[in-house]
Amino acid sequence: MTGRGWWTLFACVTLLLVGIFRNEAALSVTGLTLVLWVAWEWLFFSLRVRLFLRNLKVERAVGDDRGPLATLWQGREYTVTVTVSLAGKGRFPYVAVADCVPFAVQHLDGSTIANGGVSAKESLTVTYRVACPLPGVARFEGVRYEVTDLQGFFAHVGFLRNPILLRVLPGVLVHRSGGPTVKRQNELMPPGIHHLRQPGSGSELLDLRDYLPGDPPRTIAWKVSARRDKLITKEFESEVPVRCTLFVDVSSSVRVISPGRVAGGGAFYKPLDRLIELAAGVLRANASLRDLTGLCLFDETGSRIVRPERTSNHQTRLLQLLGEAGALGPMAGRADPNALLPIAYAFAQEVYPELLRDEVNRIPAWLTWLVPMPRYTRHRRGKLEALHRSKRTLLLWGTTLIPLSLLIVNLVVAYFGEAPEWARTLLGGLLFFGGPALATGAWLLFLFSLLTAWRLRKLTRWRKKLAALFCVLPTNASLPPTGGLAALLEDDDLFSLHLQHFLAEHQVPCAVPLYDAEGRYLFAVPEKVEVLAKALLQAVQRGRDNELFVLLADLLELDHHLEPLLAAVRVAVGRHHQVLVVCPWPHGVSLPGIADDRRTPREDTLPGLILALSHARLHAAFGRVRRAFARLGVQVACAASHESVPLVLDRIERLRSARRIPGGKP
Amino acid sequence: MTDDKDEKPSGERDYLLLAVGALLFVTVLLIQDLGFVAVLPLLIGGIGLAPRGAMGPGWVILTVAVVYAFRGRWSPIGFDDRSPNIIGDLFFAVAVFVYVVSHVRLMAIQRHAVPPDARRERPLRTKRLVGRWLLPAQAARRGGRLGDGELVWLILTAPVFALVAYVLWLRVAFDLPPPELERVPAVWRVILVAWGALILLGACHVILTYLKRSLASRPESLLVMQDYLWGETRGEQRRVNAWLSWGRRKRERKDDR
Repeated sequence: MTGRGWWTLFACVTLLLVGIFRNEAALSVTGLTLVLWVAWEWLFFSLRVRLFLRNLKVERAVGDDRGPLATLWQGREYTVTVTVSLAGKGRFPYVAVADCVPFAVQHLDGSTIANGGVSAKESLTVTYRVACPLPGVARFEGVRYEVTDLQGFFAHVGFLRNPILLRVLPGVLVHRSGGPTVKRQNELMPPGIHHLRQPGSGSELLDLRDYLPGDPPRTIAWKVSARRDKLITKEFESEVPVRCTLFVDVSSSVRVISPGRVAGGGAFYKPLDRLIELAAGVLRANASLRDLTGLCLFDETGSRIVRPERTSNHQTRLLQLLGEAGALGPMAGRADPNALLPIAYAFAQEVYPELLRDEVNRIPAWLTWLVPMPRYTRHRRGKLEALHRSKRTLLLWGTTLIPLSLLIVNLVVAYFGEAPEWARTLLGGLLFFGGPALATGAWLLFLFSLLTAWRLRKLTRWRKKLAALFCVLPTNASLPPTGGLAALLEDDDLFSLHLQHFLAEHQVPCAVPLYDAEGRYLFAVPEKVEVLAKALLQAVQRGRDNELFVLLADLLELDHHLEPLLAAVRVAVGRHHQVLVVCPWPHGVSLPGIADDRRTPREDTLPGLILALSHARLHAAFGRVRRAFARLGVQVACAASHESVPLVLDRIERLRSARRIPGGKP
Repeated sequence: MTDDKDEKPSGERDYLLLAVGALLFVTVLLIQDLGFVAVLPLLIGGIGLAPRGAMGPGWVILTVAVVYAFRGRWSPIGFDDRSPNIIGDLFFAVAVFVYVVSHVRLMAIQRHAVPPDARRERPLRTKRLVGRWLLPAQAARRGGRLGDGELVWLILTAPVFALVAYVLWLRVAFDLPPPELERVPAVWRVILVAWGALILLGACHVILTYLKRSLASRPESLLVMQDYLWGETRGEQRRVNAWLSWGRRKRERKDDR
């Protein structure tokens, strides 16, 4: 019942009571009429909510001028149309709906709310426009609805869940370089520049060179030879396409949101987004040249390899894989769950309100007062929480164990009678004065912890409700409903992982704690180096001649763990393959070797000094990585935000076009 | 959703006319009993019906109750000595009913139909929240979208409610109180009304709870059963899982060293 309903009911009951006590029939009948009417409205509304609300349906269509689409593209705008209707009998005279825009898209214009009557013949429609600033997955959860009667006496708020996942495929963003008078750079090579610079047996002319004994006569360029008065041989392009495999790092370290970097529309930028942009650009450029491209997505747990092909279906599949990878969020098992609990609970309250009601999901109130959850935790959260955890133990010792022990000691001493007088006096004093004082102190501490632990009790309630929710969600099959709840309540790491999984699955951006209780960085993940090395060796094993392997990985924090990867690269280079390493570069840090006054931090302030030290650390780490790979003849580039895809392609092109001297290095 | 800001909604005008008419009728009926004091509810109702009026019909009802309470005509013995004016009482009840319903529905159109959410009043801190959760919503009902027969249904149900109330009032008024309460029959009537209301509420509550349980979704049913199981075995489960967690942490500490 709403405030308006309670107020009106109060007035009606007052009228009725005055009519009864004053014996005024008119007043009594009027009061009774109004009370009956309010009761009737309540009953009718409650029945309507219980019987017809489950027939409320929502249909959604996301598309552009050509119609609805199942896949979206980064950088484009789309129209979202949502229709809420009632299937079957019944009518709701007033429903207010609000569509929830996913965090992966940017709301451009149009209203996301509508209200009015809903029945089989009447429906509510919401239409608005969105744009997709980053690749990933756009998850439309559903619509939030509020049902009320005509008077506004009773209201029911709920969420109509209809999750729809739409992949946002990476688009190729071509950046301008220079002013408006400078021509934009193209991905495709200008005509006349040969892209396959290896000589072969094709039909396109690549180059002219001096005649060498053994060259077939049909390759002699007679006209040029006549002009130069010596034999000149034509070199033709190789028609063997280049096979390229992209190894994209999707581990937790590249999924951490870059501080201060906000893409268009308010979406937070991750290094993974930059890697996906690069990979998508390279993929498209190779596809236009009919080169074969493969993809390997790896993280700290394993890798997924797609072998190089060049069909359009293959290209679409790779783009979909990259889009799905862009939707991943960082996961760290040792993150403090209390840091993520408020945002997860707030989100669950919006999307799963009926599963968090006390009628179906409750915790006894006394439990939160007396029993700390979990019993053992690695996280130190302050003295108040330590007191909250140990209050029952303190009470037990202070009121029972210690006084009892004192009593026993006194009885033993009194029975044997061999103790000196002062000892007996002391023990008696401790028993009769110290005991009550200790008990009083223990009780005071106990009451103090009860009164000051309101925040902890709130977090415990939230934790229990969310844990129960995780156990019954259909997408979470790893938790059994019989024992999963207790496991989540007692295991901080397990609960933290499920919280992060819940937030990542629903595409809710959140600030994941970067450091654990011991101050260790949670997202270093050195295990991915071995996974990458293994995947690279597999690709080399299955590869053919002269393949190109591009490693798009964050190795800056792992320069001391590169041995397995270097060994794998050594094998690849030994088999005459080409390897290129591209590391994502943090935003706001000047590129190594380039002085940039805008990005040079001030060193006369403490934050500036710390920033300067961290920049220097990054540059040093990049230098170490580059030196480590340079010994093997492998180039390392950093994909800073202003470097466009053509620049990276140019580096790849230079690698491709390196002349080969038989028996020598490229 | 069409934007009908430019046209005056017909529902707002209809309910306003109905409320004003009913209020005037109530005033006329009250003047016969109360004299010039009957203008007071009219004034308060008029302020509430004004374009930016903040007073709801509750104030008018309370004003009528207060005016009657201190009127000075109080009959301590049983039913009123005056000749019963059934038609007048019914007309009064219908008029007040029509006024209250019209005014409340007018408030839903002019101000808000759904309860305003305090979170929506806060300014958005970042642009990222624009178009997302907790958007300030239009809480008012669009008056141009009255349902079919809404006004007719209101006028037809008013006498029905009044008649039912009158029959119930007769049942209550003519019920003989027990000997202990013969001197204060009003208390006995209050007890009767409260008892009847509680029985009715209890029966409705049972029916609605049964409906809610029988129509619950699968996740809700799972949650209920899971809560029962957890409630019965939480002590044991807590002990086992706490030890498992402690053992795992001990192993991790050893590995970290």
